[in-house]
Amino acid sequence: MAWTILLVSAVLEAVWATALGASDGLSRPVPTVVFVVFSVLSLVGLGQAMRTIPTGTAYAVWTGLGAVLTVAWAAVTGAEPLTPLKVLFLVGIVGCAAGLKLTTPAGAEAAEAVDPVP
Amino acid sequence: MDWTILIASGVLEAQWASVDWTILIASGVLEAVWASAPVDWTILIASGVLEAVWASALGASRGLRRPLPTLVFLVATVLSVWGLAVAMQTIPTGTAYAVWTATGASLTVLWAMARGTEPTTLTRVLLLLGIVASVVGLKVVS
Repeated sequence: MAWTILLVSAVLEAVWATALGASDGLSRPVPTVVFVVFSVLSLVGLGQAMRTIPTGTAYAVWTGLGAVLTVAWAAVTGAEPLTPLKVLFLVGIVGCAAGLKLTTPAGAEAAEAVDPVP
Repeated sequence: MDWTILIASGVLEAQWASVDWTILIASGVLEAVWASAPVDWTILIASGVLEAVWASALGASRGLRRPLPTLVFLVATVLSVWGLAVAMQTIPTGTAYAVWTATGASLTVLWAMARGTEPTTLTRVLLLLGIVASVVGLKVVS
């Protein structure tokens, strides 16, 4: 159940990132509202998942999957064409960020800092 | 003895002069980076820095019960998201989001390692360098 919530939260993360990109600097109302609602839901979901999944693991999956889905959606819709080099660097960023979170020891300050439901 | 002092002074002078030059050249490099840095990427990186600020402030607020960290958290969150939104007007969404979240994650970890609350290992330093290299690479091909 916690893993389902976590995966759904990661999808919501990609939704708000995409909505934010479409909001034209928070000036278009519909994408702005979608961004606010989905970012709150995504954080709440992450907080729930972190009650059973270790914080570092949960955050790594959430942020990594969120970034991959955001990039994939932009590529599929043609908004952001991908080149091999671009894919390489994006994988480098997402992979290294996820690795940092996975190597965070349980209970460390930086890990608990992102828990929205302490 | 006089000669020894004279030569020692000369060595010190040369070292001092080279320090001057080092600082001058470093300033020139920073100036060039600053002058050539596009506004949108500068805003994006600054927003990533603010993300690390709010994440740390949230942790320090003890569940939003301490006023000062709570205030820092709220202000930094709003500025961070606003900056990301502005940067996304010119930088593609996927690229902007990846750079923003990675900057925040790197600085949060760097801050924790500097304070000694998280271990500094070779693996983690390499991962940090990997993020920096990837962000620079992405900027170059964008």
